[in-house]
Amino acid sequence: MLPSWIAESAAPRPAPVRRRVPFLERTLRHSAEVVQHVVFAERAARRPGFLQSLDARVKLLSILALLVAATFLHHLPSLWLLGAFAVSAIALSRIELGLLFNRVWWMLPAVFVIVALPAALNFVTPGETIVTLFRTEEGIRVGPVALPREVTITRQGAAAAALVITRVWVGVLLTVALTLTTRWQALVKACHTSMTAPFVLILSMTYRYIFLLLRVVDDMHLAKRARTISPGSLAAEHRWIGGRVAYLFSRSRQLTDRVYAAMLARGYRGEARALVESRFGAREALWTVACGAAIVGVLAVDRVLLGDLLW
Amino acid sequence: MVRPVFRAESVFYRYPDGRLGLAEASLTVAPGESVVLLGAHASGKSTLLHLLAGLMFPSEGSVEAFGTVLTESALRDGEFARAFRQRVGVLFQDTDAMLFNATVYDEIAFGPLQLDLSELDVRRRVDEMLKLLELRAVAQQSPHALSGGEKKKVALAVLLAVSPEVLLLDEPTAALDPRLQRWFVELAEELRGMGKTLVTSTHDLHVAEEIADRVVVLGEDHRIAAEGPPLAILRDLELLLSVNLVHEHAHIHDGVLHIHPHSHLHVHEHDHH
Repeated sequence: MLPSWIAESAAPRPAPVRRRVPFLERTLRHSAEVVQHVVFAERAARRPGFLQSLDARVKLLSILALLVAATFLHHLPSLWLLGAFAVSAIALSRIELGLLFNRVWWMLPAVFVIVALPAALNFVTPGETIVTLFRTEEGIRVGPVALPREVTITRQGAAAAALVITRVWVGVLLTVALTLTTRWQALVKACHTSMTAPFVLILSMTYRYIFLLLRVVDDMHLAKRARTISPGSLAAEHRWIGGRVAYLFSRSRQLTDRVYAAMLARGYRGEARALVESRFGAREALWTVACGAAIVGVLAVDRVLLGDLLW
Repeated sequence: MVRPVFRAESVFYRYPDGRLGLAEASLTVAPGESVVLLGAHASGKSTLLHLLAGLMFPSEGSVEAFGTVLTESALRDGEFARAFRQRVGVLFQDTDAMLFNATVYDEIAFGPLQLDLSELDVRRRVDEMLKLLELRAVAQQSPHALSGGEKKKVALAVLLAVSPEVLLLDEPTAALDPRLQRWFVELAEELRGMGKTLVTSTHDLHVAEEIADRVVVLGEDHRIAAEGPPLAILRDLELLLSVNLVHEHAHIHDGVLHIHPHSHLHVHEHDHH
């Protein structure tokens, strides 16, 4: 028998002033962005294009070789050439350059402040002064480090900083080219060797289940929103978040147990095995030759043409 | 006498927190037999299946498979463990836990790869399963992107790819639409025709009626309440009411109040006149 008050519909309450919980909203928005980001990257990786059509293992190894080559270059023009090679390959792969540069630019300020700027200063890289930043009579101590009376940017330091920034930029460009044109599953599989098998299995399972847990987070948030008539106090919201974090942790532990049981039931005996597709056709041969030529070319420019030039 | 596939003797199972999962359960499953474990939610069907699958071990009593007692040490390593996992396939209720690979293709290949088959044979099996279960279109998709019905199909493909003698199926028709339920029943019929042993847990009386040689009913007290041929069990309305598989339904028809047990099976028997 239902209680009689169920028959009475409560009059809507006036909406109180909404107190925002930026942390929760931000976290949930970020979790949704993760999914969107991955879906977008998957779409780019599925487009018909040059890099997309290459075997993932060939692509992985060639880009690793290009990354190693970048570390051996000591002049900006040779690094720019290598960057131009990467950009050309990406352009052939129908990836919008705008998207690519968006993915690459964001890390430059961090690299500049953390690595490049200190390297440009005279107390890290001594040399010929270009700009004097400041001068003090007695010098400054920062903890155990005593700064010189005159802090300047040196020509040698600026060259080192520019090299670091450009090298990082080229490295990120190559890495993004690889990840934007290769489906995650193919990329993970390309890393599969007898040595890396357990790590590859863990990585691929993490990727598989992170979406399941993200969906749980999303569902919890939606359910809460659907049932929230009047927002609670900030403390109550924080308690709710804490409770949900604990719930998610417990849920992921239970899931771990069930997944392991399913693995055992399917004959898993501690050895990760996978089918790895690998092909080396005309496109792969062309790409390998192009990469080889690019590496030899930029190294020749760097060592022979530019030689002892500082930049 | 033919050696049974499974023999469970007075099995009790308690969860780590002390809750009772199964009490005094004894069961024998013969080769080629299709046994349905019928019971309401939380009656112990899945627990019994997991015990038969060697994924959990009894607190009291014993479970034998192919004449060997299932213990943690027997299933930890060695020939028996390997043969057991090859001969016994398990369909889990939670398909998300069962499908842990990056793509549907890899998912189906996982079992055959553990059997040390050649790469060519593994690929052949996977391709045949994709064709049989009409999963080619989703072969390169991640399992998380599939619908509930597709996940269940992939999970069945995963089982069949290893070609086990015994299939332990935990709620195989849960979350399936009527067409897929029918498809599953026909698949089970075909597997029975091939001589496979099926142990299926369900609370779906339709499925039990169609695929079972024998029905084992579990009560809400986690004990086996009855076992027998499907028709005899499914016509025993008092039994089905007592184990919460049918419910009392009251309605007025032609001005007369009727109260009768109700399920969505042919056991819906009463005279309206």
